[in-house]
Amino acid sequence: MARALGLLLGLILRASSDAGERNNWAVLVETSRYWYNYRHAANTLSFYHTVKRLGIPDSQIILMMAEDVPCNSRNAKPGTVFNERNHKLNLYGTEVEVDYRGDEVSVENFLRLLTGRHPPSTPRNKRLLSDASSNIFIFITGHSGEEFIKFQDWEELTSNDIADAFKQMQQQRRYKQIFWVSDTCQAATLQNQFYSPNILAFGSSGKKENSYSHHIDPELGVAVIDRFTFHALDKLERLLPSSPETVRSFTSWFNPVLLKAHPELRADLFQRDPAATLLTEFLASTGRPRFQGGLLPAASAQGAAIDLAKRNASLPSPAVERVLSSQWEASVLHFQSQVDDLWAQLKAKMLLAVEGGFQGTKEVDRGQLLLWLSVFSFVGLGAAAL
Amino acid sequence: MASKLRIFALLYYLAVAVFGLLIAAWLSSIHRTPLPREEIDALAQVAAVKAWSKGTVQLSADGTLEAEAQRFASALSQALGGEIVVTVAPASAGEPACTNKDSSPESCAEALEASADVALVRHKFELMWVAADSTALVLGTGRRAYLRWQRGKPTLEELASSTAKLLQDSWFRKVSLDGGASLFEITPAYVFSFLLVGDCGARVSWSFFDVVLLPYLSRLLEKLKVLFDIEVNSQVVMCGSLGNSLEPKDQDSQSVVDTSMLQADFMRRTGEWPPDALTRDARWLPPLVRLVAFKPSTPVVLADDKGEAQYSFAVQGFGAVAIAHCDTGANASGEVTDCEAQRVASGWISSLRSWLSLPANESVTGAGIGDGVSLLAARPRMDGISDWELQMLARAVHGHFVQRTAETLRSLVELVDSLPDVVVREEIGAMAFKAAAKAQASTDAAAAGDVQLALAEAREALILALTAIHDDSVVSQLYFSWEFKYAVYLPISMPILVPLSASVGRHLRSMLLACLRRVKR
Repeated sequence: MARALGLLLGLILRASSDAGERNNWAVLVETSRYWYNYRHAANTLSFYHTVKRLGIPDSQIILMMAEDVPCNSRNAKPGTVFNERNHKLNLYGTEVEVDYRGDEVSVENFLRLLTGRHPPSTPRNKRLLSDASSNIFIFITGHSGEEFIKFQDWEELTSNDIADAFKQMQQQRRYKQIFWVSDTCQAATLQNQFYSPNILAFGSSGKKENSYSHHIDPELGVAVIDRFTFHALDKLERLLPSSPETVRSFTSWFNPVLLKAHPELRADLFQRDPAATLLTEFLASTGRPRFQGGLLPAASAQGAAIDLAKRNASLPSPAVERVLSSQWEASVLHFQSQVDDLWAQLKAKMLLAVEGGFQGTKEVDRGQLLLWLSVFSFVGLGAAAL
Repeated sequence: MASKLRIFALLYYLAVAVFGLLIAAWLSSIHRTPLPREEIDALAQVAAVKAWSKGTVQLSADGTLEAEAQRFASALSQALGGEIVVTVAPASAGEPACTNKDSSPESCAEALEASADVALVRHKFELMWVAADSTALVLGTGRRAYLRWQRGKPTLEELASSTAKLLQDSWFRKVSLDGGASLFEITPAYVFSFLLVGDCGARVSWSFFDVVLLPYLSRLLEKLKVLFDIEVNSQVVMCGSLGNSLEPKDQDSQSVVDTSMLQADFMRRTGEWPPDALTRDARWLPPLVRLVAFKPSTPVVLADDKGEAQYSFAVQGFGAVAIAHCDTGANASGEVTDCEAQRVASGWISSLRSWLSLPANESVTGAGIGDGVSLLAARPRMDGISDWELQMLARAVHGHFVQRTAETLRSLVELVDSLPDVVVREEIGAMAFKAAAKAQASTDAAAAGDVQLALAEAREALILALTAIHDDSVVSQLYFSWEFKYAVYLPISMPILVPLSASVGRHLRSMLLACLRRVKR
């Protein structure tokens, strides 16, 4: 019986690990400013390192840090962020890519990030370019109350706003599954108003409960990590892309006595069983390669290519403009072709004029010759300058 | 007098309060421009109906079969269920390897691979019926096929039935773009970023335009541009890895990269490669498809789950990677050679074909046999996609775009209806109307047979719809519950409104009583 159950569990897990191909995104948000909220920056950067270690590239991680803790004048170890007092790992090393920093971390920007509604000039690295196959891991930390979270020191974001943003994401087909994790006071209340499907939400504390810091670094003089993140890292630091750890086993790992709070998992909106959902589905990049059984052997269409080149060489047609790396290059080619034609014409005219003069059969118009010479010189100088 | 003055003052205060309330209501009102609801409903119904006009097969027979051409055409048309019109045309010159009675179907298919048609999407197909020593249907890379018939094997009616079945499995196959997890979502536009990546061991370079794009990819891109808007750029990355270490001491003479290494480290390594730079303003960004040529300084072998050597792989949401390596001796300069360009182009093309639900390395999966008629197809080695495959995809992509446009616009309307605080500007409404109109125009063009116009209009419609739903001005005011609103506004308004209303009421009552007393007298 036990063996059969084990086999069944193995099948379920294998099925989960093969649960469709996907791409993974992570949104990591630190909402607090001021030096004494150092631990929130450490929380966020700890999760950042975890997801990076498990393979999610920076191009698919949105990191929002409200406070510039490494460069804070109070930081006794400038340029560093640690999440434990022994300073084993500098979380703010050389490969940290912060996408939103300082005042950019605002309620408006966070909601724009989720709903995909950015000003047109927003670069790719600041957009959540997920699609219908994307598993999104969202971690948010800071100060919050019942059904709201504080951004910076002057804004609040309610659970209703987050829920509406998820609804819009669902309508835009911009996610397949979301795993929302919050490490704040009364964190579980932030997920109360969610109503869109395929969302798993895990809060570090329940209603009327606080999330506490873990320990203070005597050298820095502030708390360096929160209890929830500290204990979460105990599990996550051993996680590998092939680990069979499930969401249920992760959420069950936490000891309310150690946290001094009761973390809550909300799974009613999630269509699958958290016990059958691998943690790596959200925290690790699938990166599963697709190999082709055989390749179509490409053949060079040289003749056709030459025709294409000839057809497109004279003026930049839309097809050529698209393959050129910039519009500027297209305009240079256009100008060059015009200059080439003009030079050929000028050369012919000059030869005619000069030949006529030498042969004496034609009277050379000096004025015309000077005019052509001056035009040729001007065009030549212009082409050289270009 | 004092009483009248008092009444006047109270009425004045009341008027100011009412005026203030009106201004507050106006300031807190949400401007919402009307959206094309009826057009969207009509669009949803049209999208469900097959909008494309019937295809046509022009049958031409060689001399020995000319007498039976009409009969065969009727039988074929009947076997195709009346969906395709089969007409008889005069015989025209065909590929000698296919019209020659003594040649084999395989040699015919091989000869057809070398020919190339212009990429036009039309509805007309040509079927050349020739007498031969064996019966086979050989599809070219264009819109022409050769039906070679050994007389009597099978009979004419059986031949028509088998041919119809094979044509329905090939030329007229319905492609589904929604089945399974595709490499990328089907969207109206893409950015193709071609990357040449080295492993730090040697400097790598390529003349991308001359060596890679023009000879091997230009025709494919021309065909894909019938379906999608594609922007192209290329970059070179000197130091990259597929998942193995870049340290010289860790590099063996031939390193093997297997699936687990790729799964563990490949995507993480790509984070160090340069990202795409936004070159123009856009509310909706097309997906970035990375096509990577990895040129190692020492040979690298890719091994799949079964341990078999592979030359390329694709990753969902990322793109395709091909190893640029040929066994023709070491390339000291590090520049990509023609052989390597051909190898990587093959890998990319195969991945792109697989993404578009086409067989990766051939046009038909294996030589099919339909009741004694074998099916062969020339591989589109020069174009990457055959004309008839493009026609198949055009139908599927067009339907997908129109459906997505309707869904996106419907989502926009539902979003606006469900969030009463969402502001909707006139520009958004105009965009939505234009998207609906373009989608309708695209279905009309499809019905009229103008495929390229239909696709162009459908693309534009979907881009407009996506831009509207991603517009940065479509934001709702933040949630402010009614409890909070009462808690803020009641303490401000009550001290003024309560005494005001009470005084006005008292005065009105006394005036009414005075009137009643006068009436009684």
